[in-house]
Order: sequence, then C-alpha cells, then structure tokens
Amino acid sequence: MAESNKKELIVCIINNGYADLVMNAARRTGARGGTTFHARGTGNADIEKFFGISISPDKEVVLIVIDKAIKDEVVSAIYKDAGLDTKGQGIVFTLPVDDFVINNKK
Amino acid sequence: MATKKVTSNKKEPQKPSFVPFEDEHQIRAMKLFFIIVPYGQANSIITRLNEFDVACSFIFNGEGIAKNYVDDYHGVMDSKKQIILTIIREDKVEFVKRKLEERFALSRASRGFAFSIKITSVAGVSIYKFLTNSRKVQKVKKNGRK
Repeated sequence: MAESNKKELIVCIINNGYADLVMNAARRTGARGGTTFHARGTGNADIEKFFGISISPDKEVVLIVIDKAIKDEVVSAIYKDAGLDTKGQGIVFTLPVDDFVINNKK
Repeated sequence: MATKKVTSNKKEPQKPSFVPFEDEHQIRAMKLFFIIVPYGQANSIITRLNEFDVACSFIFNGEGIAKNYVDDYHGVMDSKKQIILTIIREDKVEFVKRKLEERFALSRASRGFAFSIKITSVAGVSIYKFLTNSRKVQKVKKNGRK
C-alpha cells in the first residue's frame, strides 16, 4: 500500500557484470532488493585520455529504494565496494522519492 | 523636375508584447513515475495509465534482485522485470497511485512497486504542453469565455 515519502532512490551506474557488488553492499547495510537494467555509456574520449582511464560502454544501472534514515550508510558502502576506484567504476547518486506504492501481500 | 517625397500615413504594425506562457495558463507540476512490474505486464499497466492523459511512457527490460540469497537460490522471486518510466501530472498522481495499488493487489503474480520523483523543469513550452497533454485544456480568455 502507499507508504510515507521518507524514501530515497539510489541510482548506481556501473560497468556491466558488477551489479552484484552494489547489491551486496546495499544488502549488508539494510537495503531489501533492487532492480537492474542494461545501458550504454557514452564517455568523453578526451577525458578518458586525460585521466588515463578507459570507460567500457556496457553499463548496468541499479535502482534501489531505501529508507532515508539509512541512505548515507548504504551510499558509502556502495561507494567503497563499487566506486570509481574499483573495477566496477560505479557512479552513485540519490534522488528523493515523493510517492511510493507497494503491495506486500504474500 | 522637382520630386515629391511620398510620405505614407500607414503606421508600422506594433509587435505584440511578449507574454510568458505561465501568465495565461495554469502551470501544473509533473512527476516522473517508475513502475516496476513482472515481465510481460507493462503493456497492461500502460493501458490503464492512458485513462489519466499520459502522453508517453517508456518500457525497459530489467532484472529484479532477490531480497535474500534463499529466495534467489530457490528461484522464488521471478527475476525478469519490466520498468516503466512515465510522466504524470501532479493532479492525477493520487488516482494513478490508487489504480496501481488495485492492480498490484490483484494476485501474487501481479505484484510490483512504483515510486515517483518530482520534475523540476522542462525545456520548452511545446514539450510541457505535450507532456501534460494540455491540448484538452482550453485557454480561458480575460472575459471569462473559453
């Protein structure tokens, strides 16, 4: 049923095949589940040269809705396990969720 | 021969002054809805949403990640999902939420979840008109007539 709006959406864009890193970190810090889908990144070639990194175009986007109270813990855990310094090269950001509809009936 | 200067009495038409769109029209906020449903059910959801003047929706195929390893191991959670992105006018959000609650409560197979995010700006009046489906909203003139 509709719940209060104290939720946040975590969006993590990560190299293909590394979504498990994100989900494991999120689960460890209190998240329940998530959804992933494939995407293609369009990195700037000049920036790649400048920083000496390669951006693989195949990406996975992970969406996780969590309580606002645990947002900081989850984000920092994801960044630690799957941030830009790791193989996953993940970018993480959060967005405020206004309305939330779920059916918990089993 | 003396030439006569021709002077025209016609005045140049004045350019109409620019009136911002929001001065003549009511601006309604919009929300971006993410609806996540089991694979194959997106079209039925979109058919229901079309009742609420939804201008466009996008469907992505995705995968759900199980709540815990036990569910994952037993395959209890059907992992294939469809993600619907749609833009809904703020005044329609409550109706949409109710409709989705009804839909998700139908059976175990129709479970899903949805959430929305505020849209803070739109580039261009025509895009706004398209997204809010304001073709149906008639302009109210100053004298009160439509």
